[in-house]
Amino acid sequence: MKTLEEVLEVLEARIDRVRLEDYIAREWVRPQRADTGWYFEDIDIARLQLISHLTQEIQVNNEGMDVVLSLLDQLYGLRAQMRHLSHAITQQPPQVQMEITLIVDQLMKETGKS
Amino acid sequence: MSPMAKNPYEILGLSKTASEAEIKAAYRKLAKKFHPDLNPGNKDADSKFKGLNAANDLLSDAAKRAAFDRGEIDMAGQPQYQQQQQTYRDFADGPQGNRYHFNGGDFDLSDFESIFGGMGGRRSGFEQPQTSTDIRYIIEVDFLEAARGAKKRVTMPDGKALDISIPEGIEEGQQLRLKGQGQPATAARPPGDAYVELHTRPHPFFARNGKDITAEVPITLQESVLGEKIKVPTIHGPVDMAIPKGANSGMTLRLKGKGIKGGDQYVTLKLVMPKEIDPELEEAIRKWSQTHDYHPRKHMESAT
Repeated sequence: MKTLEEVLEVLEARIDRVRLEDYIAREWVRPQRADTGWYFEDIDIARLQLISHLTQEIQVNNEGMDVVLSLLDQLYGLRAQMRHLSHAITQQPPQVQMEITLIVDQLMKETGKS
Repeated sequence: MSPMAKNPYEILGLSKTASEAEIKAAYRKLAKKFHPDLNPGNKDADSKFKGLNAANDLLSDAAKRAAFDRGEIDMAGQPQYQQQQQTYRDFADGPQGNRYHFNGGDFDLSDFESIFGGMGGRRSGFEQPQTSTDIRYIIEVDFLEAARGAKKRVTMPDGKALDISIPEGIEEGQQLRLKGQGQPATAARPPGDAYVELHTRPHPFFARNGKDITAEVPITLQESVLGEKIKVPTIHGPVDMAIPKGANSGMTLRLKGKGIKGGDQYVTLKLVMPKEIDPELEEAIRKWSQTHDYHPRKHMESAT
């Protein structure tokens, strides 16, 4: 875990203190609050790097970033659920796995037609 | 060879005469499309994106672009993005990811079905996602506060004051949930909860082993030789303890019920000699040793 100062150092000049505090206020990044200050995990820093790239190089504006991050968090949330669901399915007996595959397959064909 | 050993103009779909603005626009358009964090399921996106960055780095730098046009350099050169060891995707797909996931955390099949149920037409428009309204805090507490339990008011850097009631015997790293103490309620959603992770500061002489407390207690020569009663600190205040005659360093005594929630305190004795050996003590011991055979290392001598 890193403090705010350490994070600014890691990010070099890409994000300054004012921006970083703004991102925290906007809840784009949600570091942990300790009684001694903010604490950033690796994922927070990676997220800041992504935000820096999207805002500065691709020039997504603030309103756009709200939408992008919200969609991104939904996407990764769903990916995690899909992963867990897939894992749970692989733990089932082969026959159950096959039935699930058939149902999903069938549904996908049906929605493809409509 | 790396995937960027290609022509940067080709990668960005531009002609050699492209203007600065055209390069910027082409890069932006493609970067949006192939950013790996925006395309977590697409393995191609990763290498395409790296190529895009390399091409953009080269062409957006007038000096480098001219050098390339003159054929002096190829597309080598590490774009900034590549230096990153791990992208956001690596974390978002990892165990830390649920910090940011919507619907992260608990899995509920019916919940899962309802997410996709919208495709059947039940939900049409954009629905306000359930943002995480919980807040996580980390707080350091004193050893004794964690052992005995305490009520505490802490002000966090975001200005929020939390009234925390620390239960007796809380474990290091344990989390407390403060209902409704997260993000305040709005018209659209109920207030979130605050999760407080407690970390214990070490104590100068107490340590913990589950419900038991351990402590090293120094004793004097005469307390050991004569077997005296001493006062020993416990987390519940000082108590009397009888030192058995001839107690050694390392001897551990138990104080029943003086630990946490019915646990015990284990006292390890440490014999401490006086700072200076005065002639009186020296004489007494000399006299004593002349008439006493006393060989604590006997077993070592016979073994070597």
